Parts: sequence; structure tokens; C-alpha cells
Amino acid sequence: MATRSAVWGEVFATIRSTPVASISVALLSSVLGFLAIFASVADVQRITDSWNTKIASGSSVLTVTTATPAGLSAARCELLNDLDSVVAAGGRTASSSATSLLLPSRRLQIEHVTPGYPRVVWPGLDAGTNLSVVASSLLAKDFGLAAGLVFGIQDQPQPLVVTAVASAEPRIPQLQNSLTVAVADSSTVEACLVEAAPSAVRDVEALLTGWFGGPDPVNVFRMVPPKETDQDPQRDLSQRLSMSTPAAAGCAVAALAFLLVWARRKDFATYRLAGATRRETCDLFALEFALLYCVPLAGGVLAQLIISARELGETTVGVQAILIDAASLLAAATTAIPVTTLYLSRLDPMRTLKGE
Amino acid sequence: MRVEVHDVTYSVPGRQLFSRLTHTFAGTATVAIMGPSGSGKSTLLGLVSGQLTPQSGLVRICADGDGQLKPLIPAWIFQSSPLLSQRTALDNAMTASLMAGHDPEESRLRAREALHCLGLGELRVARVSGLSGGERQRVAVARAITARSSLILADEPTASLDPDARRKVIEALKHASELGALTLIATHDPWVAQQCDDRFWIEEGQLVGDEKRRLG
Repeated sequence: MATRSAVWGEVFATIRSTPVASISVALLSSVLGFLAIFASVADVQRITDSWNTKIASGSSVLTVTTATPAGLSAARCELLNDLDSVVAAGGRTASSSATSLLLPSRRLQIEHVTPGYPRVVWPGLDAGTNLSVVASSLLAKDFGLAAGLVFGIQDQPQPLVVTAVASAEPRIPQLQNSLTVAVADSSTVEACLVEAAPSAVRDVEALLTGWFGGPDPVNVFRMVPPKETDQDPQRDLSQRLSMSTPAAAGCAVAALAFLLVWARRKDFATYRLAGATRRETCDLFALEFALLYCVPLAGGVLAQLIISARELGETTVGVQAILIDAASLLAAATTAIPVTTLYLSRLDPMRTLKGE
Repeated sequence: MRVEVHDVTYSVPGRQLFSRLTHTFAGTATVAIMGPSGSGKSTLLGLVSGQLTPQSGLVRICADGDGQLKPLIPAWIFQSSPLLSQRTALDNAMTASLMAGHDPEESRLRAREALHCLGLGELRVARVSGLSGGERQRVAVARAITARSSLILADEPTASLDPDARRKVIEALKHASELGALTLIATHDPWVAQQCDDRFWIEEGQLVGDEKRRLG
């Protein structure tokens, strides 16, 4: 019986004896792994970008209104922020205009809102930021506002402190020139805006119809009417074409490995005639395959994952999809080991060498 | 070392090669198996190695004297022996020894020695794919000797060799027998048979010894 180190030694000697072929095969495997995951990353990125655009434009924002003149309960509207399927919820309680002491010639539009409202209308705002007084980007530019700036309002004893400046466009165009001031103890809102998680829009929509209670029915409608083709990002990711790319690449590697083993079957038969057992012949193959195909393939996959980590860092769903693709690629390639081992274990050395 | 062929019958389509053949090869000798083409020389080696299974009867390989069955991997030499073509002569000569579990350094030394004896000392680092047929055949002989198997099966090992190489191969096989191997050589070559310790002819499915044949 050959020792394990003898089997390893034979594998390394074989690789050393054919350096060009070995390096080519290893490079090909790693490039295949790299490209297969690159295709997945590109596809996931496309889907994610497309959904980010949809979400930014308000496709997952629901507007709730009622016929009741007083409006909806502000507390109930804010309570929606506690639900997992809700990204943010809030409403506007009142609007006013005032004169800023910074630029007395221009009137300033002030929206009095519940604390969750700024996050619904400005999706780019960081959840951890204090959103008590948020200035739109246009307003900040015109008035020279910045986070932390204190400025006075005519006829108001207390100055305002800007806590954040929105960097993106608001979902509601009228807010482009406004300052939103969060009021914690509002009693009612004229409309409650609710941003649902993209995969839970329908569920939240159904929930909202009974959420506020009251005698009058509520109307729930989407800020941006959905297209017929709009599903949810998770579904798009699970139906994307690139999902099959890694599996196909893995099968290609497995098929290539099988073909090369078939081409080298006389070498394996020679080992058998030189005294190697079936098990040792299979070990020789498995180690060679792992070194020349699996390790470079995994290396290519890993390299692509590292390169794309920054781009995918913020999309949990995308990262999951890519990791599933990477796993399916490696699983498909690794399947070649038992399949080819089965072929090798049935190899009759005499018949093989006679060419039968 | 004993190889017992007991009551073995073996046929190929349209021809019976052995009919109730019983014979024992014993000791550490070189034994020539002769006979016309198609008489069953290679088949007999195949039966002894276990590569072929007799239709009836059995073949037993026993350890020295004690009659115990012993797992044994014979070393093979063919008329055109398969080699790992991308590897060097030395690598090939070491393969069987490594697969038998011998120490790599010891295997290397033995392989170098065997290659040297067979006139391939200078070519030990050459790739087998670049060697001539005769040189390749001697590498295969070196591989079989280096393995230090108790049983060497050689099927026409000198058929493609020039007289000098043929002599070196037979000397190497005889040396292997001196070191404890039973070497069965299937050959057409009377000179090779003459160099062996024993000679048998296959006639009508039976093994006929030198003397018996002379008397017959």
C-alpha cells in the first residue's frame, strides 16, 4: 500500500512534469470561476440598481388618506415604524411660511411633520441621523444652510437648528424648497406616507386598510403606480438568467475534468499495473483535480467576491444571491470528483491499455 | 514463494487454452514459459496475476513455506509496457516501489541502480516520451525490479530489444530472482529461455517441462 505522502508526491511530480498544461488548466479554471461570478455580480447589480431607482422614485411608498376632515391619527401613523415590513412612516401635520433672518428677501416654506416623515420623503437620509430639522438640498444651497447651523426666524422667539441636509431629491417635488420640522406631539396628519419593504408592499397595503380604524374608510394608493412587470427584488433575483451561469460553469469544469481523465486513462491504468490500488488511483485523481481545478476555481470566485464586495456591501439580498451562486459553482465542479472516481474505480487496466 | 495452479480450465471463444491444468511454480527462480503464438502464454500470466479468472479451478499464491495466502501485487513487464510518458525514466522506475509503500529515498536509490544496470544511467532524467522503444522497455523492467515484488510476470520482455539490451534485461531479471523473486517469463526467444533456471512449454493445454519434452 502506498503511503499518503507517496500519493501526494506522485500528484506533485505529475504537475511538475507538465507545467505548461497544469498552469493553463489552473488559469482556465480560475478565469472561469472569476467570470461566472462576475456575470452574477453584474446581473445582481443591474437588478439592485433598477430596484433602487424604483424605490427612490417611490414605488414602494404608500399614501393613506381618509375622508374624515380631521385626518388620520399621527400616533398610529408613527407606530407603523415599529413594523419589520415598514421602512419608514410619517405624515405632515401643517405647513407654514416664514421669513428667515439669513435671507429676509425670500420666504421659507416650513413643513411641520411627524418624526418618521423625513425618512419617507428623503430615502437617502441615514437612519441614525437626527432628523428634527431637515433642509432640502436646494434650500440649503440658496440659504447657505448646513447641519448644525443655527438661524433665526422672524416673529419666532426660538431659533432653528438644522440637524441634517438632504443630499438627494425628495420624493415629493414640492419639498424641494422646504424645511421639515419634526413635531413629536402631533395629534393628526392629513395623510400618512408609508414606505414598505420592497418585498412586502402588498402585505403592508392590505394591513393599512384596517390600521387606522375610525368610522370613515381609508384610501391606500401607491405614490408611483406599479408597472405590471414589477414584482419584488427577491423574485427578480431568483428568476435572473445569470443564476444558471455558475452552475453551467461548474458543469463545464466537471466535464472538462472528466474529458481530461478519460484522455489520461492509460496513465491511471499504468498506475494500477504498477501496483496502485483502486483507492489509490482515485486518490491520485481527486488530489490532482482538487489542485488543478477546484482550488483555482475557488480562487477565481474569491477574487471576484473580494473585488465586488464593496459594490455589493450595502445590498444584503444581492450578497446572498452571489454567495448562493458561488456555492452552486463550486458544488457543480466538485461533483466531478465522485463521478470521475466512479469511472476510475471501474477502470480495467489491461483492457484500457489494450485500447478496448 | 509458491504459485499453485490447480485444475484450471480456461477457454476463449472457439478455443480451449487450458484443460484441468495443475502446476506449481516454487522458489526464487527465473522460469521461461514457451509455446507457439496463441498457445496461452500471456493468458497463463494473466491467470497467475488474477487479472483473468479461470472458468474452473483456482490459482493460489502462497508465502514462503508456511502455505499461507498472502496479498501480493505482482510486478508486470509487457512486450510494450505502459509508462507515464510525461515523467522521467527515474520517476517511472520508482512508481511501483512507491505504490508498494517503500520509502521514497530507498526507492530512488534502487531505481537509479536498476536503470544503471540496464544501461540507462545517463537517461534517468530524460522524459520517457523522448526515449526509443527499447529504452522504454528497459525502463519498464527497471520499474518491475525496483518494486521488489516477490512475483515478476514478464510477457515477451525482450521482443523489441537488441542483443545487448536483451542481455542486460535478462541479467537484471536473474538478479531480481537472486534477491527473492519468482520470475515467470513468457517468451518465444530460445536464447532467453536458455538463460532461465526452468523452462516449460505449453502443449495441448498443459505445461510440459524441459526433460519430459526431451523424453517425449
